[in-house]
Amino acid sequence: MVSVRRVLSILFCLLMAGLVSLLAVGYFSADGIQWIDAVRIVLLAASTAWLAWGAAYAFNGLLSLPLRQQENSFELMPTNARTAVLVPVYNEDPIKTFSHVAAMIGSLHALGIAGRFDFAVLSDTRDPRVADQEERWFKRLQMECGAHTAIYYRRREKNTGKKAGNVADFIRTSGAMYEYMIVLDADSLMEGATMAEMVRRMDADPKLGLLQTLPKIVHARSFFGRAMQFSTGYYSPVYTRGLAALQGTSGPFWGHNAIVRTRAFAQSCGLPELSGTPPFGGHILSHDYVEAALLTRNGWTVRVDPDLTGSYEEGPDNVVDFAKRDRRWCQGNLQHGRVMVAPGLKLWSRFVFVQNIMAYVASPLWALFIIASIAAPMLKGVPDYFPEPGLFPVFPRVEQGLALTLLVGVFGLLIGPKLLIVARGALSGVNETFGGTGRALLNTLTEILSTSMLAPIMLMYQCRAVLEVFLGMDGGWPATDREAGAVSLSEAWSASWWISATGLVTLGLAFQFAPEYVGWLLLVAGPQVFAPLLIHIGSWSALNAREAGLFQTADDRDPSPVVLRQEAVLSHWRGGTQPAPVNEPVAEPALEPADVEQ
Amino acid sequence: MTHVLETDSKPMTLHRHALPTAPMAMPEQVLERKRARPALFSEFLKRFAWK
Repeated sequence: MVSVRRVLSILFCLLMAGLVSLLAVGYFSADGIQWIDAVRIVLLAASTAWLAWGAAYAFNGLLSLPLRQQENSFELMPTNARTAVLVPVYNEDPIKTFSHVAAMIGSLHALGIAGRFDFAVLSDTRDPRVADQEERWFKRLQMECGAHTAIYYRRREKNTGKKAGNVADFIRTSGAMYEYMIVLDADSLMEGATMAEMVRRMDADPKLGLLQTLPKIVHARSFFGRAMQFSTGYYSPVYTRGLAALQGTSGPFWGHNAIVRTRAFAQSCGLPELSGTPPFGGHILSHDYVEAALLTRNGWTVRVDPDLTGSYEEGPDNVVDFAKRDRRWCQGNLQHGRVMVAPGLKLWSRFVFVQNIMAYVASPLWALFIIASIAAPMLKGVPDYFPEPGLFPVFPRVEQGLALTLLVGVFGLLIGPKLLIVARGALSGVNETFGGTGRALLNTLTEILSTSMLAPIMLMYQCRAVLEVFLGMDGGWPATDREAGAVSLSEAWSASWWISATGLVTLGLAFQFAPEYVGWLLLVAGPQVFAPLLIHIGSWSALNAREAGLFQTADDRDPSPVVLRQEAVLSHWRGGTQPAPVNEPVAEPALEPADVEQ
Repeated sequence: MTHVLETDSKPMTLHRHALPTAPMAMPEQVLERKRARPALFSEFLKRFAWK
């Protein structure tokens, strides 16, 4: 069945690319066809195939979803397995990070199963002031939660191998004590019931090497952040279900909010340094996908289970921080070009690496298509108005109808799946948790509009990132600031003036050389010209708009207990008035049967 | 409400919370194929030098 899905999905992409190519041939050949048109058609076909692949995930997800939404009730089972919960940190705010740890311990404690899990804070922090804070706040964490479970803290002298090296160091020091490891990020949050369920699923399938959850974004404050939170809450479960349907036993690892079988991971995932220097050589940056491929190479199953709810993370609240993170991911993904030819990998794993590369190369392909479209009229010269002798000129046909069909087709691949998700949500009852179908549709249209405005800006950031990597520039590994505030207009200007300039130059060249394309190019160059303003506005606080239902998610109405617990701990530790929350009762998800302490 | 769980009089230090020692081997994996070209090239050079 997996093979059939894969073949059909690939055929769908090829069909879409073929249809778009046919339309493009009709449109571009109106004034005669030349080599530049062939270049444009190839670029458009490749970009369309990539968009269609994203749509194929959504269609697979929609087709494999149950007709009605099902309530998740995780079954608490006895287990002999010990599990280490790893919290790698790197210069993040310790109060914030440890409040997440305290909340998770509280959640496990409330279920009576905290004793099954040991927590290990694995610090790679370089800043000595942050390291001092970590030690101070670890003592506080230990005092408040240490009675419920073992909590460890260690800081490496050198952060060799970055996060992958940090986890490997833990395994080489303490791995034999633990059957499983739940790998988190500093901003991760998981319900105790979810962690217990992950252990149960690992116990149930001895071949399962890694089980990934779909983390939803929480605590977004800005318009940009709220749009992302809505996307991960509303669309991602469908796309991830599609991914799960296509992956077979070669699933993804996103580096956090996942459980791994320690023995399998140790046996398979010792990462070497690649020969040569960064950006393509040296440490493997996007190590998670490589680790997933290595596990499957050794015969272990890697799976993502989208029904594992109660898994959360935080995301960047503005475009600038998002672009910084994207720069890091871009370098890591392009490095996969080195790894995809590793011996013994499964074909699907190699294909996943191609997708990771394409995720960033797609932007330069679109940019090249735009450049070629502006250049085409210049290269073609003046049309021959008198192809045959006579008094009357023959004007080239301008196939605006074909152009419109082309545009609708390309945008349809982006927007269509989202609208189908709204329709599916109306049938399944999912929309009720997002404020009803009307509200969900309105928020989807708003998200599509805001994404369409920001996409040309992200296209420029990604083009720059790809160019920098190919020029051999190492972007390093800056810590993500997930609590960054609003971006002022001057900060936005200094981060994106070059995008405005590019947009203006694009429009200027189009006016000069390809005036018939100006209307189309405004869709891309327009948002680019106003990039600083859009970035600034996107970072504004959306908390008032949230009250009005903008980008409403299921968690707005019914927040997860572990999220509430974390907010209470943080407020208390930062001097708020709420009582000490770790041992306070918070309504936990229903579990059956009654909890069983091991 | 702060929960002070330490009952002894010793000051709490982080040494008491160091990771437990239970090592597990984690061998480095092979990700890069050995390049055939340098070997061929050096072989060619050797033969050339011999002649």
